[in-house]
Amino acid sequence: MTRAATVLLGLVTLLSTAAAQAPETGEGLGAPRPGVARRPARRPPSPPRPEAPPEPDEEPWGGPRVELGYTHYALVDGFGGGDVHAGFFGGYLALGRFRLGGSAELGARDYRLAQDDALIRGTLIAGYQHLPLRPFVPYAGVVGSLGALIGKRFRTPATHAFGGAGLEVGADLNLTRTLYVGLGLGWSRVSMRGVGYDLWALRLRIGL
Amino acid sequence: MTTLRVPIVLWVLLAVGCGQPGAYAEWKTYVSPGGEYRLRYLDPPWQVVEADGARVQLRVANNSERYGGVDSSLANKYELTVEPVGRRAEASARAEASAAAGRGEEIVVPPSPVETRSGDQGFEVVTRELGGEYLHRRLVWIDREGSGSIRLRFVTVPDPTEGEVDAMIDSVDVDPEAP
Repeated sequence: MTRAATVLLGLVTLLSTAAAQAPETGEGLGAPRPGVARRPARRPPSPPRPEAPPEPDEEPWGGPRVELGYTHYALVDGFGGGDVHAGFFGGYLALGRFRLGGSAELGARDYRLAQDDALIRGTLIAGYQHLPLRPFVPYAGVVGSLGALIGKRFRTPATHAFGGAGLEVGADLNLTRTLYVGLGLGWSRVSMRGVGYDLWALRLRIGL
Repeated sequence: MTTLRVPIVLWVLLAVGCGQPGAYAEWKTYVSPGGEYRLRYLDPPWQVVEADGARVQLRVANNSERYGGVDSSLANKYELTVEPVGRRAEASARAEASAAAGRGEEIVVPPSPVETRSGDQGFEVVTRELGGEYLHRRLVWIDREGSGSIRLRFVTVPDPTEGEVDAMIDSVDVDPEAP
């Protein structure tokens, strides 16, 4: 009886000591049991990564460009009118120093004697662009255009075609890699109904 | 060869001439055979119908005739007859205004002075027929150097006081070869 009491007392002491050393929190209930769960394989230490090289300066976009713009010129009517205000959609291919572009234009022409005319015109430009000054890109080129005036003369529908060629100089300013604004000034000599006209054109452009 | 192309293109462009056309650059000119007057008109849509001595008739056909080839009974949009008359401009205008009132027409513009771009002076009167088609008449007399005047008689469906008709009247030179 004494031996049994001593053993029982010893067991109680051991349990109470273990309980005091590892308080029950319940956190270990989900833990894998020893001998059942596999140890995760240790990865070999990876070699130190080389530092990323510094970002090079962004190359300017060299692909085709599209643009929207506004143009103003005078196709005089001989009676104090003839101002043309038009919007256009166009673009160009930047082939190195060579620029090849075109646009389609839609607008209105002031006709002083009656209702204004509608105007449509297509233009092509081929020329040189100076790239070393980027983001500022001046250019110069030869321009050809073909268009038509649609209106009324003495209350009768009338359509007159016109066309000609000339020169344009201007510059683009690249604001970001692709976004740019541009300004162009052009002179063309066009013919309509057998009469020659000087077209001094201002072109404002914004494009991608 | 390439170096020559650019100057050649520039030369061709400049060779077609520089400068802006003046007024009536696209208009045609009719000079009466005796040199009594010179008139400018835009062709198309105006066309000369008949020229007989110093008298000429022009018109702008209505759309069904012009585009459909239909000889319709509709009036021409514009008709113009130009001829010399013996009376002076102001007297002619006042007489026409009285006659138009007698015919029951509305006087749209009473007898008023006019002056062409070449400085010739005259009078005009505009009336409107109160019928079904509301035809307008604009009559202009421009004094000649000695006696008489040149009469322009517009009969129109649209308003004849519009800018294009004004420009046509403005273009008239009376006795252009006179010293």
